[in-house]
Amino acid sequence: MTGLMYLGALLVSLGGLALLDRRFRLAFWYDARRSAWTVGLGVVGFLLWDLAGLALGIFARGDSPHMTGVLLAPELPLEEAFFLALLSYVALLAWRWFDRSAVQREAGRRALLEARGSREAHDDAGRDLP
Amino acid sequence: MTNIVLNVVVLGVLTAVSWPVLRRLRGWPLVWTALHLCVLTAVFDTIMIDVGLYVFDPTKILGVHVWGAPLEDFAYAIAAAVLVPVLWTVLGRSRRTSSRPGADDADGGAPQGAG
Repeated sequence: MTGLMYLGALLVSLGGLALLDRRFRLAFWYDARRSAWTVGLGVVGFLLWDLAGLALGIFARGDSPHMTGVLLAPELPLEEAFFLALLSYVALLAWRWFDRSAVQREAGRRALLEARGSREAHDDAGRDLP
Repeated sequence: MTNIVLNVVVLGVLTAVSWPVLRRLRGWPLVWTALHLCVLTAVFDTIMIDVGLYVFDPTKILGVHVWGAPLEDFAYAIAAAVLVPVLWTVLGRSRRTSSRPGADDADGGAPQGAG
């Protein structure tokens, strides 16, 4: 049971992100195919970086009892793939949220300027009347 | 090779390869994303190392920690904030990797209906 704690925590976290994704239609609920490719390629890229770090002896698997013990490669636990998916997914959701907010703020500012511009034009037209 | 050398090389190559796409993205959302991922890294890396999910060779890291997270580990957060938006942008161009290619150009990625 203890051995499933880390994987379980990662899955619960991924589920929480999916709820946010669904609520705000940011990634999988906006374009599922594109999200799957983005997160998938992110995981592959980070796994290669991990393998480089392991090959160079920079880090290694710890002695934590919270992991299943299933390995993808020597010293590379199954959980790492889920962790990297979580990292890529949270990055995708955060950036989509911030980027969309920026787009909406720009649009709001433009609409405000246009409204002000047309009101001033209207006032000017009024003054020109005899 | 130490961790800082590996990570600087990875970040350098990633930024160079991504640059043509990266320079066209809005700056603040990228910076804001990187900052939030760094905060998450400081918190969760500290916990993950504390419970012994992984260990570092002390001779291969700088030994500079932000709370319990080695400075080098923040490279993953920064890389995610570069790689993921760039992948999303590039993958949105083709019908093979997107179910609504080109949609962002029109609406900036805003949702089509109420959630």
